[in-house]
Amino acid sequence: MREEANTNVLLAQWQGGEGGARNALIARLHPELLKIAGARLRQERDSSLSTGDLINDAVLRIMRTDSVTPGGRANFVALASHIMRNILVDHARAKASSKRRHRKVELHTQIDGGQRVDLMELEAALIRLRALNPELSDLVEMRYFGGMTTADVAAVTGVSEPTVKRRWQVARAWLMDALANPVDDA
Amino acid sequence: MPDDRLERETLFLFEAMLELPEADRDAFLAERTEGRPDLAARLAAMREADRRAGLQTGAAVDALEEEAPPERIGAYRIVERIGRGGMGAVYRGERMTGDFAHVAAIKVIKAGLLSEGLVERFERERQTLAALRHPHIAQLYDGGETESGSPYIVMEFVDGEPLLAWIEAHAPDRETRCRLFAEICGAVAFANRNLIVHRDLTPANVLVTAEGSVKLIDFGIAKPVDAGAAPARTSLGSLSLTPGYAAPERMTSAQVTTAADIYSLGKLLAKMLPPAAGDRELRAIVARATMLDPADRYPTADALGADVAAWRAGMPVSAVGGGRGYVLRKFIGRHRLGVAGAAIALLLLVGALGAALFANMRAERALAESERRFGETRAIAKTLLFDAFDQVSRVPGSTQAREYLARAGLTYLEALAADENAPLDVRIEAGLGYMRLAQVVGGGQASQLGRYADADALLARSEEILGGLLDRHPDDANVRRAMAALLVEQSGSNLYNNNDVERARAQAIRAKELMAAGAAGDLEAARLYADALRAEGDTHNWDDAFPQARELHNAAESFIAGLPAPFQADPQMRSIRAGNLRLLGEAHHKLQEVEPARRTLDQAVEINRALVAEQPDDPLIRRRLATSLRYRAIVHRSNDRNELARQSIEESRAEAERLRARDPNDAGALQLVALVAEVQAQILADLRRFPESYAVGEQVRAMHVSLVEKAGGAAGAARSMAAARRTDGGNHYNGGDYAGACRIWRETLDLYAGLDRRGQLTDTDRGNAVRELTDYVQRTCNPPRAALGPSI
Repeated sequence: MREEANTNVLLAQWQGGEGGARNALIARLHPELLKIAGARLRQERDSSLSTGDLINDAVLRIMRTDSVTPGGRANFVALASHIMRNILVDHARAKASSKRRHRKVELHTQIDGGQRVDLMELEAALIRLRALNPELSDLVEMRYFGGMTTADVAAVTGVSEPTVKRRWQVARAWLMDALANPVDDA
Repeated sequence: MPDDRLERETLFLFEAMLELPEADRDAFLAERTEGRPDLAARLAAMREADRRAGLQTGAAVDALEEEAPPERIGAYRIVERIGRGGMGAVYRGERMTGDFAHVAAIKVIKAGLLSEGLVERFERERQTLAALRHPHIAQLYDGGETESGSPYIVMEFVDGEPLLAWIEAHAPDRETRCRLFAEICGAVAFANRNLIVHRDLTPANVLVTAEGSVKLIDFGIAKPVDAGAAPARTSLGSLSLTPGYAAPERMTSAQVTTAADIYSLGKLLAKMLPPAAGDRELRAIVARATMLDPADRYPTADALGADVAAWRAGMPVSAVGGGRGYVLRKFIGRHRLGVAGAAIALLLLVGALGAALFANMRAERALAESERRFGETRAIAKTLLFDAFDQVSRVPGSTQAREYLARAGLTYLEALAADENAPLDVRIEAGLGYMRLAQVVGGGQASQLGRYADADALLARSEEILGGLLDRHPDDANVRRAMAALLVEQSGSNLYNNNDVERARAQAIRAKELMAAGAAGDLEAARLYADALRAEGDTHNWDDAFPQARELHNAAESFIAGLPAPFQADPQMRSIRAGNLRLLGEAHHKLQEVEPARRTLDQAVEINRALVAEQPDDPLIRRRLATSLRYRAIVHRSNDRNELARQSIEESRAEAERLRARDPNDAGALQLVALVAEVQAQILADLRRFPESYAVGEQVRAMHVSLVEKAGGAAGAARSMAAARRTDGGNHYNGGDYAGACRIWRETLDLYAGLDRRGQLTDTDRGNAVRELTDYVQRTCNPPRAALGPSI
């Protein structure tokens, strides 16, 4: 009971602008997300749930309540998406440096119909996209790493759902193009 | 180098574009990117990426639905499913033909998966591909749409293993690997020569049969993902794009040329024959084939194959060294091929000019003067396609050379046409360029190589380019004229070569409508309008609807008569008029209007004689003279003016033979001689000179056999042959050779039966020729006797 209240309080504090609450939430999320990432990276592909589904589950588990507002939950998932991105990219980086041959680590996302995207390439493209348009970069993070619906993204960002859909189309097209034509072709 | 400002603009405009309805987007981007080719190119790349992304999402969703295999697809009974993927499924189908089952592989693409544009492309390419026959390419037989609206194709069933799996299982020696690669190169070169790009050459699309021979599958087709194949290694492949093998330009919106296939061949070669550490030459070959810039790769798959063969034989390899000298040698070397007689000198001249410009172009590129490159590329194309083409046309024996020139020019023009920034007139030229090539290989009624099926494909390509331009610039006079010229050309091709009267008429009418406004005030438009009227009338003649034909040919006559005097005096206009008068004469004749027929044909012959006197070297004009003389002979003959008929037909034959002597490859001339000689044999029979008539009849038969062979399945050639044989049978009957007549008639009925089997028998032929011949054979042939009276 204490923990439940605590998470909700932390969420409220975070939304109220308290940086410390954010860190506490991350600390709470991190072990759960590591488990999810580990399972994903061990290529447990027979699981019918995507990374995004699992993150949602994890978030709900941590909050252990339905009493949070939809916006609160969405924000939490967005935060989880960001953490998940860091975990996966760190992992991919470690993997790439430990092998003699570059081995791709792929992100399997349900958002684009079960596609696989090379993580390091995605990361490089996202960093570039952040420099051009941070909103689009966040959008991709939420969709790809958190598996968030456009409605959830709309709730987090405060723009209308049609606008989210449109921007998602822009971001996705830019990414597709960027991944097909990497800038630093070694 | 990435440019952040450019990227931000791209993102901003792309989003703004998405807010607009589909129909307004092109115009919006065109306006907002005017004078900004970099921005336009970025947006084009984004749109292409967006299209790919959309397709993938759909594909994955569809893959989740399981669907029971259909019982039948088209004429095929489905035996089993041999593959399944996100985009659809592949089945083994059987069709009973005679006593044996014909087995085929049938690919069905899920309904709604392809955009409308892709379905159209699929349809168009299917027709091109059906004409592509090569021992190492799986033949495409047929295609269509299932009841539920899924597009499908029927292709040769290949019992084979994917290339790399086969190599792994059989561990073939170097010799065998080289032979397999040579077979692949040969097949790709053949397709590329026919302007077909595979687009997705991968080890999975190269099968090796039990006999150890190669078969390429999935030519130019949006690729359904094969079941059993490993999941795509990255999710970013487009519909028909396999990472690791797809040329880099395929990832962008840049147009796909044969150079993309060369790239994939290079990748394939590296997999089939992994170069050993010290093998500099093989590495150089792979490197040259997979150069980033398509212009730096081997120019053809044959050239790549030749280099691999040279490497295997220990000879010098062109990829080592390369450079300007290589290009020049290559250019001149290619000019030597297939060019005969006097054409060589001129071609070498043109070739040298082309090579010089080409080399210059490469230097310019280094300086990034893209504007100049553009102009020079265009200059080469124009030189090859229009100026040199017209000059060479007058050189006897030049049909092959013209084809070469047109193809060489097109390589450049195609690149320009695909460039979204290319000026409108360049894109029009590219469209007309395809029409020219079609005229040479078999579409036109003038000298040509008789390959009707190829010609149809080229005309379809021309239509693709010009039709697209017309959609975007419906009021541009140049676009409208180019489209009208194409439609008149297609109308003739459909009428004479494909026996498709409905389409021919619709095309003539559309050309007429395009030119209707302002035709009297512009010479080119006036020519096209008159020619469209002529072509429309011609379709009625073909259907034996002579009153309608007469009306339209008279309309063309009055239109020309109402034109300003300088327009009327224009040689091309006079030539169109002579052609129209010839057809008007035919209509009068068939309507038994004896005097108008004679007068009209005399006029046609007179105009053509004057034109030949003015331009003795123009084969088209000579052809028209021969045609008008021939028809006049027919009219004389049916009015029992046998001596006048003989004079006219002998002059016609002499003209036709002169054309044939200019170029033995010219199927148009051969066809003309056959048509003229057929009438000649009849007139000789009228004059009771039967042995001479039979001899000419035999010549006619031999000519038709050769024409049918060249025509590659087009119905027109077989129909002409049947008509000629039917006439010859009549001559034999009238000469009292009843056994000969019966033999020839039975042969003719077989020809019609063959047309019927292929669904190409026209109702006119069924109602007239087939019924009459069946009746003749029944009454006179068992045993052969004079049951039809003394003459028919």
